[in-house]
Amino acid sequence: MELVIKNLQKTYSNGVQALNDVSLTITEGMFGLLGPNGAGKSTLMRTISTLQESDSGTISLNGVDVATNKDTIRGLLGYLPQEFGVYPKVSAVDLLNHIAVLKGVNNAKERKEQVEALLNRVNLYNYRSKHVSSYSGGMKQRFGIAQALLGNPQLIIVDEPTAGLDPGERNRFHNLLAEIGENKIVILSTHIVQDVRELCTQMAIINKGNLLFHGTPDAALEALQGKVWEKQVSKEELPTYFENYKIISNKLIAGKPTIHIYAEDSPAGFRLIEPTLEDVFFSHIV
Amino acid sequence: MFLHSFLFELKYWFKRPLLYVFTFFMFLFLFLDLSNEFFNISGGSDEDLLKENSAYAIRNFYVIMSLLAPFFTAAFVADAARKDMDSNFEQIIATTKVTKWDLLIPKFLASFLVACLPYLGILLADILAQGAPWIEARKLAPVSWAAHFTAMGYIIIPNTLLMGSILYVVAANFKNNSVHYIGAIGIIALRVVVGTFSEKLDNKSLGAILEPFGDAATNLQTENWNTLEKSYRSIALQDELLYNRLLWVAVAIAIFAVGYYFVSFTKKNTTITKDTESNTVNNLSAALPTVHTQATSTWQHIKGQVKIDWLASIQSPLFLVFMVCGFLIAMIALFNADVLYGLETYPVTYQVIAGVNGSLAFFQIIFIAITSGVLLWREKDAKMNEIYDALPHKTAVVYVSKWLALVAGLVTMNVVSILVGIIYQLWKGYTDIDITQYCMTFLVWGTVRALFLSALAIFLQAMCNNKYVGIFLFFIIYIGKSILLAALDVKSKVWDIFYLPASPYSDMNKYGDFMGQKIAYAIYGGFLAILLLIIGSQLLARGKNDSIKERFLQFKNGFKHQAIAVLVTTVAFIGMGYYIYTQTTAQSRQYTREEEIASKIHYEKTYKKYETLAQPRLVDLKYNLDLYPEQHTMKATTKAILKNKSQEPITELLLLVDFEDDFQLTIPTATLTKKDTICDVLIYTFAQPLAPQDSFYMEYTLAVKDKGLEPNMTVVDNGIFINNGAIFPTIGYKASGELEDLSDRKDNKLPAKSDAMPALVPFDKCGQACMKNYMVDGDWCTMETTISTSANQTAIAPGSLLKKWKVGDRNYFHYQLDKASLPFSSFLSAEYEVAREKWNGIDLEVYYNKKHAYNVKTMLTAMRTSLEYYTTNFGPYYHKQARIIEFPNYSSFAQAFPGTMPYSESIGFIANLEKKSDINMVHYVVAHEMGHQWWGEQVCGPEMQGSSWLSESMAQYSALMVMKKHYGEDIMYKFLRYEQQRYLGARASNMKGDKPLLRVENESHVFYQKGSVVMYRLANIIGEDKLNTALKQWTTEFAYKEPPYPNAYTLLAAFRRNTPDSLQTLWTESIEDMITYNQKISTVTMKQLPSKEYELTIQVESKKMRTIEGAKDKTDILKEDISFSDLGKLLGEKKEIPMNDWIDIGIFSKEDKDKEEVLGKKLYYQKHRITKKDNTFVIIVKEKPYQVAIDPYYMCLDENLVDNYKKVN
Repeated sequence: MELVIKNLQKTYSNGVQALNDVSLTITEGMFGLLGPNGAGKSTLMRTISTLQESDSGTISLNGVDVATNKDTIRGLLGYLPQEFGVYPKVSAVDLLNHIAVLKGVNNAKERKEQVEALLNRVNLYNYRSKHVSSYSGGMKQRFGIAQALLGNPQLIIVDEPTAGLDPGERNRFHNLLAEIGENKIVILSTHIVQDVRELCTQMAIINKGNLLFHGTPDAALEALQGKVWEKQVSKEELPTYFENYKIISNKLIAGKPTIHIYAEDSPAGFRLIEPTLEDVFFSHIV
Repeated sequence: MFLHSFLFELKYWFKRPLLYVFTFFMFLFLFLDLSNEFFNISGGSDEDLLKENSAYAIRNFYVIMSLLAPFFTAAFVADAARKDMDSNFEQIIATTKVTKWDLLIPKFLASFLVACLPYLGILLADILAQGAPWIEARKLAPVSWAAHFTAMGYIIIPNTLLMGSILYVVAANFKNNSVHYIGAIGIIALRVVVGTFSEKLDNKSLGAILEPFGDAATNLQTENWNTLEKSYRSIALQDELLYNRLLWVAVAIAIFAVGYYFVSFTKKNTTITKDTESNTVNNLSAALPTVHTQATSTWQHIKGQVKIDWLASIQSPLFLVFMVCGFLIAMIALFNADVLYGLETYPVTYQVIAGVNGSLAFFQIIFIAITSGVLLWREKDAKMNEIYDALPHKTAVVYVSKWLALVAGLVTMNVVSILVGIIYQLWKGYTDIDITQYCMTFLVWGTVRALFLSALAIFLQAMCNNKYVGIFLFFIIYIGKSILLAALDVKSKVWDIFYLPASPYSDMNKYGDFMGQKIAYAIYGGFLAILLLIIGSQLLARGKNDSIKERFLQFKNGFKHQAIAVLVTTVAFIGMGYYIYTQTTAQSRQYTREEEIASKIHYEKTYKKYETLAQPRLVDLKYNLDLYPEQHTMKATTKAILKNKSQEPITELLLLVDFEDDFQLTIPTATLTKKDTICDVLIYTFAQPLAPQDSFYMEYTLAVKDKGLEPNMTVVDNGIFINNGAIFPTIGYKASGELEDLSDRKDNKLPAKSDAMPALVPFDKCGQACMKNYMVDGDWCTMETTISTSANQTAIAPGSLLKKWKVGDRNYFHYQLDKASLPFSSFLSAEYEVAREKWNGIDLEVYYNKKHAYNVKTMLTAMRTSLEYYTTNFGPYYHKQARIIEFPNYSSFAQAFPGTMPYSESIGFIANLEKKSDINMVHYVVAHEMGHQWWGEQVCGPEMQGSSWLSESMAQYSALMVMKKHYGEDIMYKFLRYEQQRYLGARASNMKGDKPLLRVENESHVFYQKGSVVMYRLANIIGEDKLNTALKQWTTEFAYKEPPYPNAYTLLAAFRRNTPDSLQTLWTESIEDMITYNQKISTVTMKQLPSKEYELTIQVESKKMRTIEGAKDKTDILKEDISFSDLGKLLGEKKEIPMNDWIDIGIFSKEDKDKEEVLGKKLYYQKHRITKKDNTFVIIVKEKPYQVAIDPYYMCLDENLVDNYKKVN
């Protein structure tokens, strides 16, 4: 399995450039797509999911062009969009069954088994006959995951799936994904760095439509080794630091500004720290 | 703060397009209405005094447009109520210091004001139309500012306040964000339903006050206005309208106040399934089963999708509201299925179907339009589209599923319709339920229609890719197509998208010849539907690729694969269209409007000179008809002898034929000298001019062929009814073929054409004018008919049946008329049951369909009682039979031919006569038609003013006398009251208003309704016997006499001869003049005397008015530069004149409903001579009185009927 994205380009009619010459090769396993809000993650995922055309460039799965073979790709796809709703007044089991039909699970018995198994796995079995539209946020998200896994998806695309899940749910979801993700391509978009660290063997960082990094998380961390420094400063001093250093991040710890900077040498008064993926992320998008 | 909020809200709306869009539509509709003659919703006409922008039409227009007002009121007012809530802004506002009052009131007032503003578009259209160069000035009245402002002030603003309050309260208190649109539909339905109910109320005044929108009050105020008043007068805020408006403005404020009280800013509860077990983990490690995936099964997809969408559509509030409204209206329609004089019919299946179907059709259209949008964008609206669109199904299957789901919703509606119809029939105790008919209408054709219209609606949705544009476009196409086709003068229905012809059902003829055409159109529409499905499914946007460019590319790619299917379907569609065209429209000559006008002009210019030229008259007729009902063909040969009854020789004979017919014409003594196929004129020249009193022979054979798909309504499978006019040419020039339209005549430089009849002249000076009767081209004619039909049918022609025989599988009948009559004959053939009775050697016969035996006995009784009364009082009956013959419901009338009365299945045969307190309409209609056996058949007037008084009014009088004798006097009160109501209503809408009976022309409300009332009163005062003596003398003098035909003066003279001098003025006032009254009980007080008797003091007010005869001719009225006061005169001015009349005063006890009494017991009943306006009567009665009345039987024509009775307190 290999998903090859080549020179993908997309500009919206309002002038926003969502993708700028993005090229990526994604192989089996979990792939984390990291980027701040508005980076172009969703556009990329929608384009892979056949929901959107790019202006130029190609995407191919195992050599099959996505744009011209939408039906083939859709048959292999499991997709959980960032935001979604459902038909009002339809129960989870009915809706999953309907989606399974649409996914080509034509055998009624298999369909029933899979729907029940998935409902169990996402912990919704006891609510299966309730209307999905009445679900709370977390339940709905779990439903979304279940529907994405229906059928026999080879390419699973999940767009910010853990938003709105509590830590327990998030863990369970990660386990499920990891289990499913064997021998398949799973693309997970997120702005939560921790997700990627926990799950992904490959990752990419995009911002403002540009691909900033592509590789393994370890390689990304390796590159920053010995170059991230931390210091607590006062509020008044902040502007001076911004002028003099390449600041990766600036956050409050116990109410005091704490800055991370990128520096090849050791700057005075700063403490060398072990880089985290968050530092990788910020260092790329700054 | 208050003012700030108000202005803020106003500003908000002024910046939004909605206000301007609605205003523009208001403008556009009236402007279109005024701009052309094809689009007319206001009710005025440029060919009438009542212009399209007259005060009446403008008011109508406001009312009609305000029917749709709930929608934009909802948009404005409800939006104001919800805006903050929807955007969750309310929680921010709720925490500020602003009071509820300052927040809500200015908002409501501002949005209410904005909801009134779009109507200014109507005023604007009226003003701008005045200056539009392409609208002829004479077609418009000047802008009636008063009409605009009164409509706005008295109707629109209070109604908007009422609707606004309701919608505001609904929107602010319910969480569902489209609930106010349901509320809007509810208001529209309420308006229709309440409107109908308030009209049914006996107490119109109460109905007018209670009806919430002021429609009933406005109608009550204006119903009896004459044309002039309607043109210029505006409604006044008084009486019922005033009370109504006060009441409902108060209600509106109360509703708002209650709603205001309940509005709160705290968050509404929504039901959320709480996840209580998210941490109890089960089956976490269970392995996921492996499944096999294939291509999505189309069948399973459709099945699942249709089920989900269908359930959604029938569970939507819209569906429920439409069903409830539709069936409420259907019920009202069914309850109101009156035939005549307040009489019900049996709920036969075809009538119930028509009632239910007609009421629901309107709602189905709205349902299709809206639901198509809801269904097609359902995934998008539910925000499920990203999941859905990325699934591996086929777009085309989604498209088809949505289409079928919409159809399934409509089929559900239709199934419920069947149940409702059947329940109604059973509830009425009617058990002869025809399930096949229900299935045919609702399941077969209902589904075909649903498939077609849904295909169109879904296609438009997919094409527009915008829900609201799609809905709007559907309405535009559905409403606009007929206007466009009319404007383009397109006659063939082939161009009418998804046209399905009607298929009326008759118990006699079933679906007759209508199905072939309907099936052809269904196939034709089917191809178009398939075409729309193929193309539409390629247009449906999927994913985010919804820019025009992307969709075009998608369409191009998809289309490549469908090109052959599209091509094949298009060819089939066009081919079918061509076939239908050749089988329908192309079967007959097609003229454009211009060609029609040109041919009429040519006719008038070329042949007008023949109008005064003497032409021969029919004297003997021998008909030979061969009817082939199953083939819808016939052959009719007429052998006629015509005679020159004039004083001069006749050289040329002008005949009007129809060159579309297949006919042969032979006149041995004349040669064809002119054949005009455009004007349908033939001119024969006699070899030897036809000398006076000479006659000649003429033979005319007409072959009627089957007209392809065009349904044949006369030569039908079962129930042929034709008259001799259809099988023989018209003799001589007829002015009825001339161009009528005044502006067309002017454009073509023809002189204005009068619509007046020849003026009444004294009989001895009548001359040529009295030599022709007003009915036919012949005088007293001998007639014989040989008629053949299929083996299972009976054919009937006028006269006695001389012989009946069978040749092969055909029945032959030979009839001969026993007395020479006017040549007006009917020929009928059907499978009949026959009921017979003999009376004084005369055969009374009713030929009827076996399903319709209900009233056959009554019909026989009616013929017998009529013959008894008429032969006793008017003179002998010369035929040896009287027949009533049923014909299919394609027309609904009864008509008198010599000894024969064809009677439509829809007006008497299915009437329900079980209620004895109702007028027996069947008896009455038969008695009327039997009356014509004297008035019209024995004595006939010339083509001149007053002749309808001789025939129609006398037939009415005769029938009334028969009814009175048979059912008693009391029931006549209902009848006369009903006649007066109809008279007042028709008089108000007639351009010339009233006419004296002596000079009546075509005004049916005068010769029928006024004739009834006036003749009844004359008989009551002068004496029935005196009037009958006069009629007998008149009949003796003129019955079956060769011309001159007696005109109205001869009958008036006969009546006067039999009237004492003291009562002579009654004839002057009732027949020669136009006199109306206004009798009113002002007050009545009662006290009980020591003797246990009751003393009543009754104050009455009596007014008498004389109407001066106005315009003789419509050309007098429709002048361009006529002044206001001249118009008043032309429409007939009323002047009060002194009373000097015998008027009845009656006191009644309460009627006993169990005995089906119409009026209570007469405790007092006396004629009083009333000579002044105000009079007081003190009357003592023995029993407890219930009500008092002046002129209780409604014998005086009364301008106001309701105040004749008053209940005693």
